[in-house]
Parts: sequence; C-alpha cells; structure tokens
Amino acid sequence: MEYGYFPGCSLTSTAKEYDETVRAMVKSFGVDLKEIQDWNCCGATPAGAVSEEASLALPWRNLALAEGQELTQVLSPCPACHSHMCSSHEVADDAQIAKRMEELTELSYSGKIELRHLLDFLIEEIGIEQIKEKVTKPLLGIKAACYYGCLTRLHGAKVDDRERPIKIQQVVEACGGTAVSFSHATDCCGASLVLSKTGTVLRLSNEILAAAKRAGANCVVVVCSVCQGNLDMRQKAIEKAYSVEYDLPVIYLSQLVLMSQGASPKELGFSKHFVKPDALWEKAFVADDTPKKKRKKKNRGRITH
Amino acid sequence: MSEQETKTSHTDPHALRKLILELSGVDIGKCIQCGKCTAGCVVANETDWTPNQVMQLIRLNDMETLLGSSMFWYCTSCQTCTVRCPVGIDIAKVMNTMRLLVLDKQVDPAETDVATVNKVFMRSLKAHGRVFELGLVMNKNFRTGHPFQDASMGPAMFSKGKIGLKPHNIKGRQRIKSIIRNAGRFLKRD
Amino acid sequence: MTESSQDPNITLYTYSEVEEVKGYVGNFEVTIRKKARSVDLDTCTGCGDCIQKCPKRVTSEFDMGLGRRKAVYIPYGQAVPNVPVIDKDTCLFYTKGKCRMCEEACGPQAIRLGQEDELITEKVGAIVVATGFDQWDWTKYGEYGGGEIENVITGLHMERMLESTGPTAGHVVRPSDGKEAETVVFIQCAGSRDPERGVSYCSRVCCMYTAKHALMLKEHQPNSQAYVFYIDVRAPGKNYEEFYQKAQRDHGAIYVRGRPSKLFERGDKVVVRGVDTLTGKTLEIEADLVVLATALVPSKGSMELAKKLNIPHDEYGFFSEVHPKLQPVDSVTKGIFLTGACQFPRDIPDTVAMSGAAAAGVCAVFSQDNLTIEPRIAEVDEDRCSSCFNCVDVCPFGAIEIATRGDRKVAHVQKSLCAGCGNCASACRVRAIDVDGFRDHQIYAQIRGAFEWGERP
Ligand SMILES: Cc1cc2nc3c(=O)[nH]c(=O)nc-3n(C[C@H](O)[C@H](O)[C@H](O)COP(=O)(O)OP(=O)(O)OC[C@H]3O[C@@H](n4cnc5c(N)ncnc54)[C@H](O)[C@@H]3O)c2cc1C
Ligand code: SF4
Ligand code: SF4
Repeated sequence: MEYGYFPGCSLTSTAKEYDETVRAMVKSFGVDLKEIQDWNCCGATPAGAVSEEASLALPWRNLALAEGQELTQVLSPCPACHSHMCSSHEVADDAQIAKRMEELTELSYSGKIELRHLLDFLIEEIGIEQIKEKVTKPLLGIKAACYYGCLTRLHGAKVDDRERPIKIQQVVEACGGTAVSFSHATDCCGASLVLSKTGTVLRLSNEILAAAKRAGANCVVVVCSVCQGNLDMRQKAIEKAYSVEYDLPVIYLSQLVLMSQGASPKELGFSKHFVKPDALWEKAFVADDTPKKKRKKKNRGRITH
Repeated sequence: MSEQETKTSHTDPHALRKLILELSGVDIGKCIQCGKCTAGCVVANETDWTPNQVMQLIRLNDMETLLGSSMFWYCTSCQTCTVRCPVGIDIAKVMNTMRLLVLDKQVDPAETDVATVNKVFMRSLKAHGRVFELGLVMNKNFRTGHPFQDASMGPAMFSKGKIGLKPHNIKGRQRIKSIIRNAGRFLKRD
Repeated sequence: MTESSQDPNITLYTYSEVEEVKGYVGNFEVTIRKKARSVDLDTCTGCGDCIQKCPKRVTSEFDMGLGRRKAVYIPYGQAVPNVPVIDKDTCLFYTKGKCRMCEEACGPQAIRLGQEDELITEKVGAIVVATGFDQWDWTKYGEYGGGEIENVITGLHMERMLESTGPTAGHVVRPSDGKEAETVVFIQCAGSRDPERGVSYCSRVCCMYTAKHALMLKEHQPNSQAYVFYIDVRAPGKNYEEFYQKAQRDHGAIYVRGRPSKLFERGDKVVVRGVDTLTGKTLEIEADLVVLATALVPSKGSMELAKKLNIPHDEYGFFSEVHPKLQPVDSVTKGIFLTGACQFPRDIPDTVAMSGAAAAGVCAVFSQDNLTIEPRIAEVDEDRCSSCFNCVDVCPFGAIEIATRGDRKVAHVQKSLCAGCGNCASACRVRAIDVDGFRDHQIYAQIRGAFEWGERP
C-alpha cells in the first residue's frame, strides 16, 4: 500500500524523532509513505489569526500538490496540520470558496483526498490486530498516561470520542502496555501560546504532568509534536517553577509501537528527548509485580444511573 | 453625554451581533449565559474578560470594550468551550474573528506578544514557505523585548539536532508570498 | 396508595401494564398484562419469610444501587400491596433451574414459581394517564466522567440517602468508601437547557429539590458544606423563593452562578472545575460528593404507550394536551386525560392539582347521558369512496374503520374518536371525505367573501 505523507514543519525540526519513527513504524506495517513534494507550512494558528483566506489557501496548495502527485490518501502526524488540511478540504465542496482558493494558489483541488491523522491511520488502516501481531517485546512495564490534548476537538479531526477518547489506550494495550486512568487526557497544554505566554504554558503543562503522576503513570504517550515539546522540553522548567519532580518521559505513540517491535533506543531517537527515557527503558519490558492497591468499599453494590 | 456610553436610537443595537454573524457565521444570540465556556477555559483566569462575558459584550453592542480585550489574544483555540457549549455556539471561532477584527480595524492589540508572534511567524512563512524556528524565535524575542527567553534551551536544541541553523526554502515560496499578500482578512460567506 | 387499595370502587392492578386499548370514550376496552409476580396475592400474608431465606442478593433499583435486595423482594417499605415479587432475571430458579428456598420457607404456600403472565380485559369509560418521568441518561456527559466517577451521583440517589429509612439511614455518604460527605457540590441543569446534547427545556423541579437537599444536608450533617452551581434559580411558587433564600441564608449553602465544565478525580476527591460568572472568576472545588440535578424526561416506554392509546406526544415523548392553557389535562383523544410529569416535568403540588382536574374531567364525562362533541367531524360520502383506505392510514386517532355495505367495503368515521384534523380529507384522492364546517365549497365561500369585502354594502 502507498500512502501520501505530510510531515509539517515541526517534524522537520523540533520533532525529528517523531518523523523518523512514524516513517519506520508505517514501513513496519508494509505501507510506503510518499511525502508531498515541495509542501509548504499549513499556516498553523498564526495564519488563521491574521487572514482567514490564507489559513485555507495554504493547506489548499498542499492538497492540490498531493492530488497532482497522484496521492489519494494523506497521513499527517501533527493534529494541527491535519485539522487545517481538513478545513481546507471541506471548502472544496463550496464552489465560491473553491474558486477563490484557486485564484490565490493557482492550483485546483477536487476535494477527493482522504485525510487521516496518525492515530486514525493506526486504528482504521492498520488495525489493532496487526499492531498486536507485530509485537515482539510486549511493553509489560509501561504504564502510560495517554494524552490527546485538543486533538479530539479540533475541527475536522473526527478521530475519537471528544471527551473520553480511547484509541491511544487501545494501541498501548495492543503493544502489551497498560493505560492508566488519566483525568487530563483532553486538557489543553497551551500549545499556541508556546512562544508568547510561556508562563501560561508552564501552568497548563504542569497540571497535565501532575495528573499523569497522580494516576501512577511512568510515561506520557502523545501524538502531537507541540504537546511533546511542552511536556518534555519544558518539564525541567515546570519542575523548577512549581517545585515538583516528575521525571516523566514523554514519548510518541510511534516510538511506543516501534519499542514493542524491538527497536533500540537509538532507532527511537531517545537521545533527542529532554527527559531521558533510560530509566523507563529498564522497566518497559518487565511486568510490575507490586500488587495493586484496592480501594476498600463499604457499599457492596454499584450505584446505578 | 455622560461618561457612560449613551445608547441612542440611531444606532442599531444589534450591529455587533450581526457583524460577528456575518464575519464568522456564528450567532451568539443563542447564548444562555450558563458560563460553561468560561468554566472550562484554560486562560480565563488570566484575561480581562471571560468567554461568556465576551458573548455578552457582543450582545451589548460594546465594540470598544471588546476590541481592547485581552481574552482572544490569550485564547489557545483549544475548542473546549465550543464542544461543551450547550447551545452549539462556536466560541473559539468568535475569538478568532475578534483577533481578525482588531487587525482589520487597526487598533492596538491588548496583548502585543501574541500579535507579534503571529506577525513574525507569517514573515518566516512568506520568506521560506515553511517555518524557520531559529529565525522565528530570535526575531520574536527581539521584537517582544525578551531577547533571552527560552535561550537556556537553545544549546540543547542544537546538540539534539532539533533546530537547524539554515532555513529550508521551498521551491514554491514565491507562490506562498503571493498567497499571503493577496489573501483577504475574512472569507466571503453568503 | 394504601387508601386507594382499600376503596371498594377502585381496582388496583399493580405490576401490570396496558397491552392494548380499543374503543372510544365511554366504551374503552383495555387489555392488561398482569405480570407474573410468582407469588400469589391472595394467599401471601406479607410475612417476609421467603425474603429472609432467599440466597440471591442483587442491587436495589429503588435505592439506585445504593442498597441491596433479594431476588424475591418488596420494592420499598410502603409498597402496595405488601406482597413480594420474584425477579426472574436474577432468581436462581428462573436463571439456573434450582433453589426453591422461598417455596420451602413460605408457610401459607403462596410461592408460584413458573407462573406465567396473565392477560385480562377491562371495560372502562375513561382513562387517566399518569406514567410520570425518568431521569435523563447523564452518562452521555463525558466531561462529567460519563458515569465512571463513583462519587458523582444524581438527585434521586440523594433522595434515597436523605431518607431515614433508606439504604444509608439518612446519612449522606460517598459511595466509594461509605464515608460521610463533607463538601457536597450540587450541579443544576445536568442535561436540561442543553439542546446540543440533552434537552432544551428547563426541568422545573430541580432548583427547588436542590435547595431542599442543601438544606436537609446541613440539618443531617452540620459539618457539611453545600455548593450549588446554578445558571438561574427558578423558584416561582408559593413560598418557594423564601425557601431558596432560607437554604442560602440559614443553612449556609453557597450558590455559585455558572455551569461547571469538567469533573475529575484527584485522590479521593472529585474536583469540580467551574466558574462564578458573577465575578468572572474560574474556580475549582474539591468535593466529597457531586450531585447532578439531571433532566427529567418521559418515562421509558411512553412513546409505545402513546401509540397504544392513540394520543400524540412531543419530540421528547411527553404527551400533548389539547390546549396548554384552556385544556391542560385533556388529551386529543376524547376520554383520555393526562396528569403529572408524563405531560411535562412538574412538582408534586402541580401534579396533585392536575390530577384533581383530570378526575373532574372523568366525572364530567360520566355525569352525562349523552356526550356533546365538537361539530367539526369528518364524514365519508360512501358512494364516492373507492375503498383505497388511505384515510385509515393517515388518521392519527384511529377514528376510521372499514365498514361493509353490501358487497362493498367503505371507510366509516367513528364520530367520538374524530378530532376534525382533516388529514383524511387531504389524503382522499376521490374527495370522498370532508370535514363538516370545512367542506371545499365552504372554504371557497370564505375566500370569496374575503375578497368581496369592499364591494359589499
Ligand atoms: C430528585 C427529585 C426530587 C424531587 N423532590 C420533590 C419535592 O421535594 N417536592 C415536589 O413537589 N416534587 C419533587 N420532585 C418532583 C416529583 O418527583 C414529581 O412531581 C412527581 O413524582 C410527579 O408525579 P407523577 O405521578 O406524575 O410521576 P411519577 O412519580 O414518576 O410516577 C409515575 C408512575 O407511573 C409508573 N409507570 C410508568 N410507566 C408505566 C406504564 N407504562 N405502565 C404502568 N405504570 C407505569 C411508574 O412506575 C411510576 O410509579 C422531585 C423530583 C426529583 C427527580
Ligand atoms: S457555553 Fe455557550 S451558552 Fe454557555 S455562556 Fe458560553 S457561549 Fe453562552
Ligand atoms: S478555545 Fe479559547 S476561549 Fe475557548 S476554552 Fe480554549 S482558550 Fe478558552
């Protein structure tokens, strides 16, 4: 199978390990990725905040290029890029807006490409069964806080239940790991304020890390480069600002899947992480034998709603 | 005239609500002021007005207060408000429309940091067709007057190969430049 | 209930449901399914020995899972009649084919394992529908935990806990560990006033019962603190506003204006992420217990019942009255009356008042030898009728029967059922049906009249 690929800017720089592991993981499932040639930045939040037309036209160019390069499906690992592409894809149905897009980009797009975010791709195209089949080193010691951020709410990104998503957990479990019950799975990390309101970003990311720690996680699993950046790169700063200690590696879902297939830390790009996953690596493949604390219940029934 | 703005019968008391509807396709008239948008908003405790108050300012036709608000500059577009609004108002979209309106009316944004980052980001995009992070961060720090913000992370970023020293220029960057130059502030809706 | 069960003029069919309704006002024939109780009503003395001996314990529906009951049980203390029923879904005899402990225990031999449902018919002159309400399924709210957070309960759970003979003997406790709750957060409008995911209407009773809960909580547990998140407090009723003020002023309930956005667990607490829109401040409260005032919706099965009774309902399943102001307890089908929360959420005083009105409506029907009905009634021109019976299908009141005239079959209108809606007249392709007072020539005459107005002397 051949699949179009849109990495987006951050995967070519701050999130290189995401890009590399996505490619390797997709390949392990026998799918060839074809990167859209000469793609441009999708515009991210700033384009939308400056010009509504530009925020649609920028992804339009990528869609048109993909179509010109005979791609019928496009995978993007970045939730924001995916969402922006979806918005632009939708307006292809509106003749008036489509005409304006053609004027601006001098490219036409028929609206026929199928767009998928990585998570959606894993569940719908690859399927849990195939993920399970490829596992050679089950992640018995992984206790993951599965973090979605705004992904489930983003426009066009109909990947999972908005409030109580389960798909990352499904993948983690397919790889032999455990997903902890995590209260902040869909809370915002402050993403778009990352360059302007760092204090806000620290506050929000702190709450997320605190919730993950409380839940008994030994890592956070993400599907977004900005989330990863905020939770990993800024973890030291958060620990300092709030006088806490987390030491929670923040790993991409693609890294996790490859881990279960026996990839080495080097292949996973772990050296690029700020919070070192070394200690996690030690535990990752060994089952945790400490018995689970059981809550004592006075009420023997279960309340019904 | 008193200091309080006097509402006169000459102005359309629904002008702002209509304008927002026209620009964004969102009608805030449905708002029941339940506050759920604000309750879930991650930045509402840092802003001058809250999301539900923004809805009410639109209803009160108070353009001046609204344009000067910091709310929509802080808004992270996380959409929590939108998906939980019981009457289906796309609040996050209204926030973005307000950002566009401030630029369009050429009033000073209440939060210059965010507006500057947006500007610098678009400049990088225009020049290269993609975002050049190093240039972006340096340019932004310079313009917002925090030259060393995040500087501590710089060396680590280089050594990890996370930030390139040279921008990647795409072939079609002329086209990107012209897209950004010619694109209108608002999308024309029927 | 006890009183009505003892009245010689009232026959009470408990544990029974209406299967079918035929006929019309004054002449209804109702088929009733008397569900198999597996205990004989007449022989049972209500001693409860069977309940004692029954080995199967399950959660009690009446106590909303807060307490337990046996597979043979009396739903609650004041239940009428005071005779147990065997729950076929959990009883070991019905599920596994063995046990029969109750049979052994019963002195008077009232147990009837294997008993079948019984269908009976009754002739009645009028029907009062009072099927009430159910709670909206709030677990659709993922942001409130979707039913997974144990210490998030509903107003009905609270009712049971506050009851001194209830499962917790009047103590308000956390279901997770049975500890007394100190900080209790009440959230109003859980599902109400939410056209996107719940119901668009205001459920009317929640503001007042929440004030009651907050007040009683303080009385039962003086160390407790109630917070009430509300959008608007609706207290229109005699002494209602005063009651709500009392809960705030004298019982210290803190009212916070704003609908919370999220509930999540932190340690053994439930964190309520909310806002006070009066100050514009967002806040988080760590609660022991969160009580949702869930929307009231029609009881399950109300749509099916509406079909059996041939009465219309709204989009939610609340039965429709003829006129909200002038005929609030009459259904469109003559002889069928509505009362209580099956028509729209309402509290006990309103339900009682409405029930009185419905009873008076029944008396009014029964007090006459002849029934006066509206003259607006459909009539079939039997010579024209082509026997397609389109009209039979479109009549919402089931008023059109198929009658035999010699070797022909023709449509025939049952006058006491017809509501004069005119559906049949527009469906009839050969114009064989018309509504009296709205015949084509009459309508044309009206139109003509309207246009000739100016020329008339
Ligand atoms: C938590 C809570 C607290 C409340 N507190 C108060 C209060 O303090 N004061 C007050 O005035 N009001 C209060 N109310 C409102 C009150 O409960 C209602 O006003 C009242 O119950 C309405 O009475 P009803 O007879 O119409 O319906 P219900 O009480 O719902 O009774 C309907 C009956 O019909 C039965 N039924 C349903 N369908 C069928 C069928 N197909 N066949 C046979 N039987 C059927 C049901 O089993 C039920 O027994 C409260 C409501 C709630 C949710
Ligand atoms: S959530 Fe919706 S209805 Fe409620 S205050 Fe906000 S905009 Fe208004
Ligand atoms: S989208 Fe903006 S306004 Fe809405 S909750 Fe998120 S930050 Fe607040």
